[in-house]
Amino acid sequence: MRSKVVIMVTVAAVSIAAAAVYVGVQAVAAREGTSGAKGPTFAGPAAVAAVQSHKPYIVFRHVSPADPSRYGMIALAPVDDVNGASVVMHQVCSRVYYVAAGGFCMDVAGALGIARRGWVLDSQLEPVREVKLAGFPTRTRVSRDGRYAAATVFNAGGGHSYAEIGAFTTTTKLYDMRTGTTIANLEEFRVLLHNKPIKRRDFNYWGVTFTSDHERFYATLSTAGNLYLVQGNIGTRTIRTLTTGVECPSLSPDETRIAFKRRIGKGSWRLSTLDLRTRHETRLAETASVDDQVEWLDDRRILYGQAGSIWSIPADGTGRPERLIEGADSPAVVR
Amino acid sequence: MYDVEDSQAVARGHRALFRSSLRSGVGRTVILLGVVSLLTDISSEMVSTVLPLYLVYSVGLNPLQFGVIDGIYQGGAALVRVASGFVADRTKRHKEVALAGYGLSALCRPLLIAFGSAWGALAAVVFLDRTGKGIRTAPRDALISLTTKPERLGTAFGIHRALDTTGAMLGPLLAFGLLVLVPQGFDSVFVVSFVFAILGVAMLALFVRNPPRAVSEQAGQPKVSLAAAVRLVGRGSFARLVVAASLVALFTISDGFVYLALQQRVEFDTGFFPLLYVATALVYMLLAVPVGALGDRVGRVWVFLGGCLALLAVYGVLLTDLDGLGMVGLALALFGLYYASTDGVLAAIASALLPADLRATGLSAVTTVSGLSRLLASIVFGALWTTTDVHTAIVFYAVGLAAVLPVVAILVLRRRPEEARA
Repeated sequence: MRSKVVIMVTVAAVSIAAAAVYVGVQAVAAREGTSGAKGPTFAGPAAVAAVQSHKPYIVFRHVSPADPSRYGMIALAPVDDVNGASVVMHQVCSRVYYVAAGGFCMDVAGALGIARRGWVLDSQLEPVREVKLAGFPTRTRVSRDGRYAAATVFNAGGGHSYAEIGAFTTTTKLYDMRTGTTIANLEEFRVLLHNKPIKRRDFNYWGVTFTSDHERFYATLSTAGNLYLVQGNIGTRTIRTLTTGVECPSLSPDETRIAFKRRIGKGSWRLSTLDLRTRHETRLAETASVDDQVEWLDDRRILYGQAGSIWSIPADGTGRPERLIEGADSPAVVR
Repeated sequence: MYDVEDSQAVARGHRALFRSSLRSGVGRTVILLGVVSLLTDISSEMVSTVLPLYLVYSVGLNPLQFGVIDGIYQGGAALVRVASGFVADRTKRHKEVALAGYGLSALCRPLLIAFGSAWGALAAVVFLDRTGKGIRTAPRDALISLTTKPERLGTAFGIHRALDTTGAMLGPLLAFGLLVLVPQGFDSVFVVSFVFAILGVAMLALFVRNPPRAVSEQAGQPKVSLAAAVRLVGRGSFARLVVAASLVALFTISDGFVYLALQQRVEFDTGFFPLLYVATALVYMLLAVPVGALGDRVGRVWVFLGGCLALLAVYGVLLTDLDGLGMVGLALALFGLYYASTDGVLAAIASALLPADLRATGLSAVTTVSGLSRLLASIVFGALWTTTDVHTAIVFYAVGLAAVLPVVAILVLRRRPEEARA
């Protein structure tokens, strides 16, 4: 019995000491790795300014498997030299969007799959204000004048993917970029379904895209198993349905078309564009399923994240997908 | 903020636990197995807390691959359960079979780090880990029952489950703390988890002993054979218990859905979601021993039926017009009471009905059948919620549970004459 106690104590002492040393070393390494987080960025203001002088440029998330220590950090690159002149910032995000005036960064989900914060980024991509979030981060957009931000999270406890309608719930909120305060949860807005007001408890919104008139936005609304493209008005706090089956809309720079993902099966989508005037829908040449809120490079081409890279494809259904940046996602184009 | 409160509550729970166990004279094997489970649950809950994040963020799995691994995680344990119970009974080496299960799961921790990014290999490791859990559960519960006097079974299982739940509460807190200390430090979580698994295995290997042969091998009883195991089904009292447990399980709304329903009713910040789990576990941990002891005194089947009523009361609270934190607290207290009065208590009832030499086989049969029923209940509840709404789904389960409860009561209460004969 005595010898057994000795063995037990020895096993415990050795294994606990080994784990303590391992965790200690990792903790110190992690601290050193992020010690500069509050100071100047990796890239430095000069490098950021250099990229920003080349318009158009792309802000994206650096997710190169070859560079795990900088996984998820914000990066930027001029469109005409994406791989040559890219720089990486220190801020880590799970999703980022940026316009010339500022941006929005959603934090990485921590333990239990919940991100609690987002950051308003200034024009130099530095975090300046913290915003409260609560859920698994998925979509974000900023209005073109940098006044509003929108962010969608999957609610904790539900599914963390858009695969099956009804198996997840989302929360989408609008934020004031100047103060970092919440303007509204979209579920508080009045809803006109086919021009008739309705009230239900099962409203889920995701994928906001703003117009340039400071007032309106488009988004996806799911209720009772149906998906709607909706148009919202921030001033009057109303939302009305336009058409069905449009998920994660993205408004073109000339504001005539919406690029989106059309659901063709459980967890399967095709990229398409919708002409807002004629309601004509064009299926793009990408044949693989894409789950992303896409971004317009200009009025003719679309960018999207797929399998760890950013791809570009013509918006008129012709051509083929071309890999633009390897090891990247969450593109935002500044024109 | 809540980890401090929790650890104080845990410490209080422990003091209460050891006082009551000393008074009740439950054997040291039960306490030892409880500590083994505590250590192992810290280890396994640390991993299950971070596994989804690890798989999606660090390994970069898509939802389909994640679904496959999650399915294995949920269902993998069922496959080997009955087989390991039978082997333990047949060889009369419950400790060694349990040790194989604990050891297998422990070995999976370093493998998780080694196979980091190959998702097929990761799926295999998760499967092995769950197989280990399937192997160890039945022989361990049989050891608890075989080293405890029949009149103390409820208390013994109560003590074991209280310690087990303590580990399940500490694991996520520890994982959470480590991730704060080492951001993205999944390897650190797996290393610390491995250490707790080693401690559990060492404790089991060094200090737990199989019950003396005289207890488990009564003269004149037939050798443990497949035929004898199959005949268990024909034992009226035991078969009725399995049916009763499955009927209740068929109308049990799973934890995740209960918490989601609460969130829909009260609409609290979703960031508080993990607290619901902790609160339920806390109530379960604190009540497991007193409720088990109560069962030993007034009859375990009455406590079990009371637990089913507590579950029905949870549904009732979810359907009332009550609102606010009081409603959440009431629902969680009742839900914890349901766990405390049904989980370990069911194992105690089953143990009392089973012959010593088929104890592990029988216990594994109860958990397997009721586990499958619970899985079915979850699928149906999810489908009902999707096609109608949460209120309708709960009404359906409440009516169903209320309807089967009298049947369950008749099934479990009718066993008394047979027990007297045995």
